[in-house]
Amino acid sequence: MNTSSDRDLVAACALILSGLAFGFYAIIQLRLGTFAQMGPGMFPFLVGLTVAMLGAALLVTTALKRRRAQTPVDAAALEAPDWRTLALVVFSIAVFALLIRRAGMVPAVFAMVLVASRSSDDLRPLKALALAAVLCVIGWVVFVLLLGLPIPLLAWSF
Amino acid sequence: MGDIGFFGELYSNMAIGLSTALTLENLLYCLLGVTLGTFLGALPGIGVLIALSMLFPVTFHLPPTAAIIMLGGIYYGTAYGGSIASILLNVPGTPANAVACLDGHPMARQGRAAVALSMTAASSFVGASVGIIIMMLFAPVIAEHALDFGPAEYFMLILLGLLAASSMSGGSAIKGVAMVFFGVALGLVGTDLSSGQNRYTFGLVELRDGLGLLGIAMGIFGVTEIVASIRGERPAKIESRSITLRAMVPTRDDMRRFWMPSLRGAAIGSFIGTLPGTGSMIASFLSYAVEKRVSKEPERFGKGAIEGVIAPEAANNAADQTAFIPTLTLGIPGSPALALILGILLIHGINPGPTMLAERPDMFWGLIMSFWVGNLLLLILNIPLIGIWVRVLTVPYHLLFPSILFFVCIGAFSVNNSTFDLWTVAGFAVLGYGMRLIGLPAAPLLLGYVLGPMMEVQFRRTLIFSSGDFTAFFDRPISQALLLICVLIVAVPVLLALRDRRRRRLSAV
Repeated sequence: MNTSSDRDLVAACALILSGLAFGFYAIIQLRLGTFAQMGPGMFPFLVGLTVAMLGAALLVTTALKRRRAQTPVDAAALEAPDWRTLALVVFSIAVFALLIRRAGMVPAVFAMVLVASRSSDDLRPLKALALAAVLCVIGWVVFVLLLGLPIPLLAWSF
Repeated sequence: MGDIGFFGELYSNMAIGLSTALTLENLLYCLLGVTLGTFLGALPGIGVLIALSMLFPVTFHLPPTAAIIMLGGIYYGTAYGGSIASILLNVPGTPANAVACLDGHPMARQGRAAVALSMTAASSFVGASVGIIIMMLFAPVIAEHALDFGPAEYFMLILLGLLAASSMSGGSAIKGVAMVFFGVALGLVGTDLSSGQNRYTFGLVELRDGLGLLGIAMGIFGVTEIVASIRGERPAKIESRSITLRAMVPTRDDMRRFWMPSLRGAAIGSFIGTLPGTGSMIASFLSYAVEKRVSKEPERFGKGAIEGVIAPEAANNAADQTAFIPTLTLGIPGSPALALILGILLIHGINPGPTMLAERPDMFWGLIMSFWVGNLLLLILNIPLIGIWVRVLTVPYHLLFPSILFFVCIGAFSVNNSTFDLWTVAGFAVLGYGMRLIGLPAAPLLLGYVLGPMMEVQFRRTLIFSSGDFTAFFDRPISQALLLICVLIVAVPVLLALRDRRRRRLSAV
């Protein structure tokens, strides 16, 4: 994926596939009915079809553009994917989700901040621990004290 | 309008609104909303969508009127805060404030940052005031006419809003419209209200109520933005350190240049704000262009012309206010931020639309009068608090992003006291990042998600009444006009592109 037209081809295929999948589910799982007596599947089917058709339109316009311009004009300025950061941030949310009920807010926040801090060079472990402690206090004051939500600070139920 | 007349009615509505907006509780939440909004808006990289989705869980447990007043405060507070970052850092706090960089930052480099900030606060207030007045005058009229709308008109209106918002927001129109319908598809997940059948739930009980608005908004905007920004961290360099109250006093020359640009900006912003799919960013760019055109010395622009800060800021604040008109009177938001607010109102059990004015006048007018209160608070607070906001700008991103993640996580968990929403956030963060890499815009998706279920209801209703006859969508004058506008929105860009191509081919020969 080097140029913006490569990127548009991927986008077009993603749209076609997801539109078709959505529409296909409507056909096999839901009743379509007729336009006068619509079933639960009719509108989703039409929406899926629309997404797929728009994807096809993108595919055609991109292909035409590629044929006209032999040399890609805007090859630069594409964002390079940063999978490591994405994985760490998503993993930090997952850790929080796994711990909040079983271990309580304090361990969940500490684990979340520590995992997320690995994605930044500037956030050293000690600084991250201090930040997590501050966030725990804020969380306790705002959500437990002021809003009165039943979120345990510490728990043990694995 | 009856026997008391238009202004008599307006006066009694204002009284109802003030009695709601001025209760101690609502005043407090308004203050909290505008302060948090300014704070978050000043932080670079946090726009209005992230601010709203981060703080929505906090408002979830408040009474509905207080919640909507606070969310409103956050919404227009971010516009104030965003201009601070534009002027001092040359990094717009929100996209709508990007124009303020053009002349605001040169002013800061000339040591006139304090004047730029105080004039911005003042012109924002002028812009917001004009916007609110327009809203008070026109919202009831529009709502009254909207009561006659049938399902076909509503369907066309929703379609118009979606098409306009996605094709005018910049970038490829096909991608924008495709993402709108992708969003509509996501909005259909859950139990179908008319048949009771589960759609796209794959056996998950949690999905029967649909994918959560919050999980989508937080994942696709908040977390995706974090992932994209962590590596790009740069130390903030603040241009002017001496921001004292004394330095904020404008010169006589500044004052002379204040009124006309701010009123022109307010007029442009008020008009643009009511159109679907435009919003405050276009309003601020347009008013900058107009100001440069009418100026006798256009060469000053870009080098610290104060009109170039005053007019766009008046325009974006006016547009932020008038954008509430279609949302509250028709139930159809014109921008992603208003779609998020509409979605949050629906979660609170409030159905914005023409009936809201009749059934909940206290809430409708209370919200409008709270706009006055909030904007006045912003004007008063911003001048003495400016020193604090300046320091907020220096918070490094590596401390900021874990804090945003924390609010996202605990907020998503607290709304339903369930971890399912957290997994939704994680899933949509991955989807949002993937979309960003292949250049698919996220904002139209949110708009489609919020409006999708309504669109289906009106679509089905129209065809049930007409027994499957599609001419029902355009057999009345209003729906015909709406259809014509929809066709124009789709056709005009295509025709323009074809004309360009033909012209290029001719010039090549």
